[in-house]
Amino acid sequence: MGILQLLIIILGLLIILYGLSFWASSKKGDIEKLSTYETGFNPFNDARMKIDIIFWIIGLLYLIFDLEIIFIFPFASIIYTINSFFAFTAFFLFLIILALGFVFEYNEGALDIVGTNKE
Amino acid sequence: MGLLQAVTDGVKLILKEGIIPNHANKTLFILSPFFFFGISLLNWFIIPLDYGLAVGEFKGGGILFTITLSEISILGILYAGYSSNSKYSLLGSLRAVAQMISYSVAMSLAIICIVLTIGSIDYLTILYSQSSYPLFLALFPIALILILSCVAETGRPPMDLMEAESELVSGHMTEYSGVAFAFFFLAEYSMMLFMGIFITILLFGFVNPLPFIFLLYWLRASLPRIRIDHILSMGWSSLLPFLTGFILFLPSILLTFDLLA
Repeated sequence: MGILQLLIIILGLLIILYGLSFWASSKKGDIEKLSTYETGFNPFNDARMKIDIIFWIIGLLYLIFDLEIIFIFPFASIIYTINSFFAFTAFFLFLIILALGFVFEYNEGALDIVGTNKE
Repeated sequence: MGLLQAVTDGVKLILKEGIIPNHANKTLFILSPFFFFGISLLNWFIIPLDYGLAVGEFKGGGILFTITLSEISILGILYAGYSSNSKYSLLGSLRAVAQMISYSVAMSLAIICIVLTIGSIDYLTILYSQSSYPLFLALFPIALILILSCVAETGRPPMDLMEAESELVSGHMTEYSGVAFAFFFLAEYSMMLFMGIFITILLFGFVNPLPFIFLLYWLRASLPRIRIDHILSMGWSSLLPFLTGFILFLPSILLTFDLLA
């Protein structure tokens, strides 16, 4: 079975389930039911508010490390077949540069998530 | 006997009214459960369900496919939380995304250690090469980290910060009801089963989700919830430096003792 066939089967299943629910369920919405959830209050302000910077920093770090992972995977899977000292050294240097960057980042305090490292 | 209770639970969710809130971004709000559940079902395309039996025919890069899907599925949570336009959904999805991307980095690095040891990214090769000796014993610290990060990826207790009920109601699923909620729910359970099979293939050399499911319920029964800053700082300042060091250490050992076949 190819991936497109499986994708079509999955989408068909989901659309059938959703359509069945759309057909079978009652549809009686009023203004209170359709309002945004706010633990019993009336909704106030916009939900798109200011958020903590740490989420953004974590996202940025994730991008860097995910790229690193993408670069390591080919090496990790062919280390048996090449079996050369030069390739190994190049890989080692790449990882050491990355580790030094991480140490710098850690010492700058980029990972001081609220309250953890202050105790 | 109550055997059909699980089925009636699902049928009940189909019969419920699906509510779309006034202020939600409607297209994204409707499509994100489809995206999330579809991606989590697509995981089953590649995984071997027994020795040499899989749903699809996909030669070669099995593990890369899994890693890609598990990182794409995080987008579904982000879409759901953002499009609901509710404070609880937004905060819940932010916390879920922060936790899942932290632990997906740890998980990928742990998988790289396994790939370095075996020398292949194909599931069947990894499965067959462990027929005499499981990697769980050979790479014990890595195995613990991999199991820990899989628990964090599935978002089950004690790491269920994405839907911490006493603080965030239900996280990114707050505004969802009816069958859209059922999609998120089923995707979570599908991911649990998938991670169970994934762990046993990579670490133990057999295919059976039940030990991991047992572990999840055991953890749920015995441990309290962890705080969000503790969970994030454990991922970034404990697991990540250790794994980076281990990835330097492991090929050095392999090359020094000439273990590269």
